[in-house]
Amino acid sequence: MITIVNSVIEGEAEKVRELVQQAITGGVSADRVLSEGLIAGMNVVGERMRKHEVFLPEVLLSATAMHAGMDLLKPLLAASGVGLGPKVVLGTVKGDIHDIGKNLVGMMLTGAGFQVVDIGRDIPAERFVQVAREEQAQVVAMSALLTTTMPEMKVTIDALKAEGLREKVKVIVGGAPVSPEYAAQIGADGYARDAASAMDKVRELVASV
Amino acid sequence: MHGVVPLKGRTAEVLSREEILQIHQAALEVLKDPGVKIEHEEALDILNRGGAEIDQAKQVAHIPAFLVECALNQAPRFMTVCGRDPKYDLKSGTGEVHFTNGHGATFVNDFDTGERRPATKKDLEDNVRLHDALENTHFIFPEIYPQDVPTRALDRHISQALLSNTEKPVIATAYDSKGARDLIRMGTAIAGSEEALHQRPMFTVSLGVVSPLLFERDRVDVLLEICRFGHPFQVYNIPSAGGTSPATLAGTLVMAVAELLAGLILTQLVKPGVPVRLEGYPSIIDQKYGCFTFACPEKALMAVAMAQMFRYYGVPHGIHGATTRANVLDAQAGYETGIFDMFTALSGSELIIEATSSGMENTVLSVHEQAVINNEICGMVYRILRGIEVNPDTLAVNVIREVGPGGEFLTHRHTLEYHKIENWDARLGNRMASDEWVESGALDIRAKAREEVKRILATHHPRPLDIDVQRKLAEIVEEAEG
Repeated sequence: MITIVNSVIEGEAEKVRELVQQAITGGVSADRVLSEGLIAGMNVVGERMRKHEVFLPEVLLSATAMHAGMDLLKPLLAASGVGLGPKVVLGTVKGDIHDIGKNLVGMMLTGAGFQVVDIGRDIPAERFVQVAREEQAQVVAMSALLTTTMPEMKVTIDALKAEGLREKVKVIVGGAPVSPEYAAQIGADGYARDAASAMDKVRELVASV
Repeated sequence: MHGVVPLKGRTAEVLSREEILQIHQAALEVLKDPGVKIEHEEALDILNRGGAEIDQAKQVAHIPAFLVECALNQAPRFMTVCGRDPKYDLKSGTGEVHFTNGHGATFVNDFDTGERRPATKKDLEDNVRLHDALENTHFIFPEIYPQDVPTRALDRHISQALLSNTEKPVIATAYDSKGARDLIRMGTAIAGSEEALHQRPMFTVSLGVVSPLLFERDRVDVLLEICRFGHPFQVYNIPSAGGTSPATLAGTLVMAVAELLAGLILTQLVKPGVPVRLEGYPSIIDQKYGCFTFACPEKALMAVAMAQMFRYYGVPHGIHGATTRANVLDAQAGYETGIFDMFTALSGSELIIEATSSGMENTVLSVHEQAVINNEICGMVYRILRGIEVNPDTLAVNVIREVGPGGEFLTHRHTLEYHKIENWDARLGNRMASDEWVESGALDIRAKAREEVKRILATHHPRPLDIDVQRKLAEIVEEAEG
């Protein structure tokens, strides 16, 4: 398991795939491989990212390695009836096409064991609502880079309210112009300034349910 | 120790070819008349035998132009000062820019109390250890002159502290001929034998010409001892325009060049072929405050001009970077050293002296944090000197095609490969957004530098000298204390 953790940290996708396969063949349960191997590795990467000790491209390499292992685990996890982790619907709000930050958040959340439903960029409020309902998501995560598109976050939250979904999901927001104060003001449950803290925040929100 | 060739050899120039020749011609005239005063009969005899005309009563040597030609032909174009660890060997003449710390502070800000107080030998030892750790200090000067040791043995104490606390090459100190012999004894003890010291000289020693045009007796004694031993030597001067040299920058350059050439001539007459580095630090007198000014635009211009003169002569050389005039670690301290280090490094001079200095107040005060900040500045300067690499792989047309309109480059393997090569990794400068910076303690550059100093002094310990060698050095110091 330690070697899986290290291979995720090193971002060695091939090796992760091999090791995960070995573990499965050796009879280790899929959810143990996930939590004690892949997620444990990404937790270390996340912590280093938070401290600015690693570079983003290396983090993404680790995320790719993590995904390589996940691909093998998914069918087993589904078959064994073990949940794949809470679902997060993720997108940039209407009018905003700046999605690099959002993509990073997606990768980190996946790395942390969440099921991420990335619905892309320039997403209108109705679409957030629709997907949240269809997917029975626990979290809706939105980002905006521009002060001009930032108000769309409130529009989405209001739409969730109007559709009776607000009590069922936690809402987290982020993006360069967003602040914790703004998040509170528009009625979001949480704010994160970067991908690593988004991972922490989503964990915290889900645990609080 | 590898430096950086600036911008693929495109260096900053402040003098035209014709102006270089004009300064050279004027310096030759000055060497002939008025000549240089040398308070040393033996040295005057040596110059006389070489072909200079001597005025014995005035102790002045009138030096003809042909002696300049001879000296430039004899003096090696290259010079290597070795580290105790060979990876730190400092080679001149490679086209690479290197940085050194500063010299001569007699006061420090106490690291624990912040109080300004006279410097101690312990301060010097810590300072040397700090520079041993800073990756952009390539050659270590005595940045601090301790005030808690007997003056008669000060040079031995300084040399001992330098040679013991770093594996990088150093500028040692000797104030008279006995001091010079003791320094050779120290070097021999460390190297194992005189022969080994010749093979891998781990220090140089300097003579400072006293502007205008004066060579002091004791310092000439040191030159004679060290050069006769065949050990690398340095000649420097610090003329100040409007005080000890003409108020015009061109006139100051003429005198600075003349003085250094006179020093070079003397070394080559004493021991033809002895390696010598010339270092010119001309600056100006601030005519309001009546003091020499270590960080002013005039000094920066003259530093780059000196680099051009030295390249014209083809000699190992160094020019001055900045020591700030500021009294505290403030914006002035940052902009003075930042602008200076950048501009002087662009000159392509092989040695930028004072660049990583802890010195402030015109080198009077040493503050550890300043060295760490300057090390960061030099890292930034090096990145700029490295320039822009242009080749098919860096032009990245295929990568742009693969990503396509509206895509992102963050996850492309080309980014993974190149970001570390292209990007300079700022260590101290803040790159956090406001909220994270506040959460992390809202540390400014002084506080960040202070943490870095603390970390280095607590953890960095260069390989110590063998216990027998330490004992030998201590004996030499004790003898001198008498």
